[in-house]
Amino acid sequence: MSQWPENWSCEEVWEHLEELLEGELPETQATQIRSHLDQCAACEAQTRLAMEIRGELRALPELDAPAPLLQAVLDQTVKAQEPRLSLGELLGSWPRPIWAALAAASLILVLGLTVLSQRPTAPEQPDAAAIAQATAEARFALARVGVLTREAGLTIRDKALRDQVAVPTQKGLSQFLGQVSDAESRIPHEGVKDV
Amino acid sequence: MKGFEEMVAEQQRKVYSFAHYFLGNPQEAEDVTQEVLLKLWRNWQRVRQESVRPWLLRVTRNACYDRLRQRRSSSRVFLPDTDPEVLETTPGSGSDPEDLAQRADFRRHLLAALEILAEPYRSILILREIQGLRYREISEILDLPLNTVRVYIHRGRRQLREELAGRYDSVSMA
Repeated sequence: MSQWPENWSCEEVWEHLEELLEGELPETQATQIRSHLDQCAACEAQTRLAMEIRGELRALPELDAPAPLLQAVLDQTVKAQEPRLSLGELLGSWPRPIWAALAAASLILVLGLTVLSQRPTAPEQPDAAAIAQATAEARFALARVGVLTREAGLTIRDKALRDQVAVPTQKGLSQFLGQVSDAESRIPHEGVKDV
Repeated sequence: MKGFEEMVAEQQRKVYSFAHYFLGNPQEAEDVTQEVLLKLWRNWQRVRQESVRPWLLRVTRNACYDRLRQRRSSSRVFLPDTDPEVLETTPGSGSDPEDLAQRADFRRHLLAALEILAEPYRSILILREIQGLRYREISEILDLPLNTVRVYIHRGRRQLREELAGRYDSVSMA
């Protein structure tokens, strides 16, 4: 026996109205109910009411929880778990290698910034006193060079006189006098040097 | 993987809305929302990410139901306090003042009828009609067979209609 009525009463229509609106009734029963609705004002009003209820329920907005409430939840959960260290405690808790790396990085940073901050500048113009001092130093240096050059010249001259004049003269004289031995003919250079 | 803060931001609306429509009182809805979110925090490691929403709504529904029983057992008179935002008519509902007033009045009575609807019809209608959940998700939240959910939705709507019929069956809402 079928669960569906042969002739639909108003009460039976109201019983299955939601299924009709959801499209869950078999087509035969849906057609029967629609033909009942066409002839029954009360059931037609019920159908409109059912549709209004569905429409209004679906139009109700979803609501946001108040922001202070959510903040209070986060304060009691996520934020309460975050460590609350002072700066000193925070820095002290870092391992030594991190400290060393940070120090090195800071030093490099400072040096880099210093170099970058130095812009090229025009060469400084020396003042008169500096010029005078430099001139005097240059003169002194030149004078010194002159003295040394003269001393060197004298040394070269003395050596030339000894080798080319004094020694040959002494040899010739000894041979002439015949009084000196071969040993005595070797006159030490030192004696000549002191002339 | 979402963090707790992100999950709260994502799901708070579902929790608060359910509590608001179930209890009909913003202050109580806030209390329940806070209670439920703190419970999520305590169970954060145990609840799987994909199950957070059904878990939250199940816990919210249970918390609301507990409050309902407390209300009944206490002598305190409960006054429904509907959020004005809820009573605002939807865009496109017409600008005729009489029509707007009629719709606002209908919505007020609809909410009142919803608040006296027996369980689990109230929960099912909120989850299905207001929050737009699928039958399967409602079935998981309320731990009911799928077909039972479908039948209860129809019954819930019919009960609402019966509650409102005496007042509105002769009023044209078209």
